[in-house]
Amino acid sequence: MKKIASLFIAASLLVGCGGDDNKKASFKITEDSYAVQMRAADYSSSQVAVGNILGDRTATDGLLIKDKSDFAISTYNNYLYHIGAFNIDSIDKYDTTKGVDAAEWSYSTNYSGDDSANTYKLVQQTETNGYLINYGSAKVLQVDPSASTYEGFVKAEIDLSAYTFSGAKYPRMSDAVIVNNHLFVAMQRLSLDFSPNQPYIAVIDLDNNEEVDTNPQQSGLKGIPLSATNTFTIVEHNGFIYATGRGDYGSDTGGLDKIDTTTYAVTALIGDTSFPELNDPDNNTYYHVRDVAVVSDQLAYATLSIEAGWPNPNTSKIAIINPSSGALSLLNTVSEIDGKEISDINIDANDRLWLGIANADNPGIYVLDTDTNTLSGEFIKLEMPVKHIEFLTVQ
Amino acid sequence: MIVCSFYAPLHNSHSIREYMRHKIVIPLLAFWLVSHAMYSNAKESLVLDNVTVEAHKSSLMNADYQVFERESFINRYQNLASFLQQQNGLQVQQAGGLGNPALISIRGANSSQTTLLINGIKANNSQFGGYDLNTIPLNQIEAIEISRSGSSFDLADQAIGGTINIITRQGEERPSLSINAGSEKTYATSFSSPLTSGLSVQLDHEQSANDYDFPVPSPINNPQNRDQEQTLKNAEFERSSIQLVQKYKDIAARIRYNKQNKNIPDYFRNSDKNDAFLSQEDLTLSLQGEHSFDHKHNKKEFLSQHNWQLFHQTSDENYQDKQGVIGLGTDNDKFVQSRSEAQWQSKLRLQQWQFLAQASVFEERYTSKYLDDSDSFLCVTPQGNCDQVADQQGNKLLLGSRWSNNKHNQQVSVDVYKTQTSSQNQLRNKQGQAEKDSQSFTGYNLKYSVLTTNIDTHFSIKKSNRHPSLFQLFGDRGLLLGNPDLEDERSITYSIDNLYRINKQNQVNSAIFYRELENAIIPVYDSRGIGRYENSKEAYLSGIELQWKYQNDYFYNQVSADIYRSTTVDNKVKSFDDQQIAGIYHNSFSLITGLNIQRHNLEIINQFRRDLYIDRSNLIQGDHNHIIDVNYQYQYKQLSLGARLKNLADIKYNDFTNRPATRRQWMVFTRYDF
Repeated sequence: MKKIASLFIAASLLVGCGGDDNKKASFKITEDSYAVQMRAADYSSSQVAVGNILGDRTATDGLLIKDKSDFAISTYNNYLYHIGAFNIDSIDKYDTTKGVDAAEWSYSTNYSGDDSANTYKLVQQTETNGYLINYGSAKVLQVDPSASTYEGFVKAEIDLSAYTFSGAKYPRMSDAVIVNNHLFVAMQRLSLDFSPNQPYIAVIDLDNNEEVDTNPQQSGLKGIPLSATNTFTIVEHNGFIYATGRGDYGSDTGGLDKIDTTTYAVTALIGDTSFPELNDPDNNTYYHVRDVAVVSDQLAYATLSIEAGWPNPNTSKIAIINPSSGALSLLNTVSEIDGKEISDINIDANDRLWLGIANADNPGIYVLDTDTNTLSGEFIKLEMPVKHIEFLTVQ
Repeated sequence: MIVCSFYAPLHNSHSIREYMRHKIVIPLLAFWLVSHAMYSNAKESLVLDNVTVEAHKSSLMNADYQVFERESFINRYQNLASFLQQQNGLQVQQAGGLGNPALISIRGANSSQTTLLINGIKANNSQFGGYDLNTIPLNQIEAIEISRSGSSFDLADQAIGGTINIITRQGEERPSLSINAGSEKTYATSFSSPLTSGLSVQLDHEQSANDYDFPVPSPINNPQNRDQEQTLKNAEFERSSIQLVQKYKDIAARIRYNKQNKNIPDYFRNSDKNDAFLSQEDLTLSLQGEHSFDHKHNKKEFLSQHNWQLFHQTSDENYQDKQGVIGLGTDNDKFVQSRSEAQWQSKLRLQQWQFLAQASVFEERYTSKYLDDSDSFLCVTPQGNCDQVADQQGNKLLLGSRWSNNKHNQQVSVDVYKTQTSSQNQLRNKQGQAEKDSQSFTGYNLKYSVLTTNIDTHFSIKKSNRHPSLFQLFGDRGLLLGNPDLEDERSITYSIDNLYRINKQNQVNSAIFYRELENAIIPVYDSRGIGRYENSKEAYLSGIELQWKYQNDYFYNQVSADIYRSTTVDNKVKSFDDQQIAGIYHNSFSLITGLNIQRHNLEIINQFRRDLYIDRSNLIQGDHNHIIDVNYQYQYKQLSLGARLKNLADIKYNDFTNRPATRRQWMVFTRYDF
């Protein structure tokens, strides 16, 4: 009923008392920081938050507010790229040491395609060279992130249409990394009805933008076939690529592959039977590998999404992996994450594991000391569920 | 009010629909022959008691319950949405041009919490809860009733926000023809005429190219030229309808066929190869009766009125996107809906007392087929389409009473109703178990009215609900899950509505209300992109509505203000907690000024709207806007000429979806009554 009182006050003035601007004061980073892309639980809006990696990690949110949810962030040193994906097709560059009020430039990510480019990521190699990974296109765009005009932005196109599954429109490239001057691009190769097929990683020699034949003895596609379908994330550490495949919805599929970037040999680290205790076939419950973060050749973490049939909410487990020996276990030292939905994990420069919590009632980030697998510092409270965590460095 | 109509029962709606599609002349002729034969046995026709109607109308024109007769809107507005936009406490939500569904918010409630009735039959479909205000052309409308506080004796209003009832024309006394033309190649024509005594026909056609200039975010020929203003492509709309009404004494039958096609623009890229469209055909059959009887018992006289209606409608929709421009793949989707309803209402007047009993039953079915999706029938791909069949049955029983004191300056109305709704969803291949839901609700309207010579005051309490749509209950059997625990949205609204007739020229309407809403239904998605509808906690909305009207022989003026305050309480979604309700302007003001000089009428409408939140997290604030519309009409005997200019100043602003609204539009119209 207290709303009645304010109503009378407003009525007497005959003006609205709403409409205050939600913009934050200009925010600049002064030390190594995290940046997190968030989106509303009903997908009606999104925003970015930034905070310090060390010390007081309290987030400054309300940055880069958008009325759409399909946004992602990529980072390179102190630069943050805000990428609009499906039917947005935009990329904005910010120097976070100067703030995020005004972009250094804003370009379209759709170079020449008929459909929305649906750009997932910018993989940046140097100040002047990077690659846009486009889920809605058959081409990777080579770009110059330092270009001040669009004419200088797009340098070349790398055509991966050979990987498009029969009947589908695009190969569905989902992630990419650069290793030893080679671009490794993961492609889901979904059918027209979005069923997953044999995924591949294409290897591009960045000296000439030509694809490397990773298995000259065999005919067919030149790339590296993976064992886990529906590739979501690939990360690189010490010459190895780790690729997660979530598999198909409602089925016992997916896993984690380790790829040697020199020999292109693939080793399955997690498969369908790695964690039988997490599966409950009678209730259509299966785990799916969604994300990976690597600390060293002996220590990596993966997010296992426990999908317990249709009516139940999504929860997560963290798998601990020794990539060298193949040993697997589940993280059980952090009760705070039990029953939570972990949407993203990443490793910072101090080898701490950052876990993004996407539960709408209490979204935020936990930080884990990987030496002890215990929590580091306080829970970082956020306003919205986490979609993606990246890091910024101040030179 | 239930309009009388006559209907010869048809047992197989599918066969009649097919018959109508291919051989439209023959059933029309058969209908005419049968009705003519029936009419020739009766000389009486239904005549309204003008005195009763006038007294009824004037006593009910306040902020609580309004009736607008045809003269209020015919020849002055393009469609129903345009007319309702001018009314206090109402906000029309229409994105894009002609042909896009127009929804309405009443007293700050969202559009799904508003009920649209057509001749007392609910137009909100059970599958998605949607409706379109512009389904019935203005030419076919006799009157429009609007209820806000719940008043079952006048209009069955059990909606959370309010109810609008469109009463269609019962018949024509003489032929009339109207022709309209406007910007964006908009044309409309309507013709209505009596055919024989008791039988009349109404024909309507409207079309528009909707080729207005639109800022395209990523133009297909030059994506770097973001937000370039381009002529919107593939946005055409076309609708044709024919309606026959046959009256026989107290009974009226109605048959209406409607066909429309809306091309779907590619708002993002404005692609040349986009040919997506949504076509719809529907057939409506209804039979209505209204009977009044005088009774005597123990030397006391009393009056009883009985209304009944039988209704059936089928609707076929086809959505095609052969080029795969709009979505992620190609589409060729068919949706079939049917609804049958039977209603009965009896009123009894006994001196100071009135009693009311209403009963209704309905059944609705929705079927989907995704023709371009090879496994949609098997339903094996969770991220793909799934063919489904959904059914809903329901019944309602209402009992009400109204007491007036001897001086008729005080009234107390009480009505209580109970609804029972059963829903079921199954795969079209009938594999697996059907999902079911059953809910009941008991609601009420309480009203105490004080009526004096100059002032009418109504104190109301309304307890209402909104049953989840079938889509919200059962999802799409893919990535949007069903929620078997989903409960009705429920509200209780307290309101005071006042009409002060200062003198013959001045009157002031005012209302203050407070609404508590619980179980608000919202979509919630997890990080995989899989979602479902859930009950949020609570929302509170309070509002003040003020309207001052002045009218003399030559000049009229209307000043209106709607001020709302809201807050949400949500412990399931942090960013939705302690926010304002999204999708409504919290402050809106309008000034309508009109001149009547001889045969000329000129009207200028100023609307100011502000404090709109686009999203539930209140991160995105909508545009404030000040829109000026101008209407002009010239009347000479049977001829009307007029023009309408919408958004005179060509103001650019984003609508409630945060998409650029249509800009300045004009229309000229002419009407001749033979």
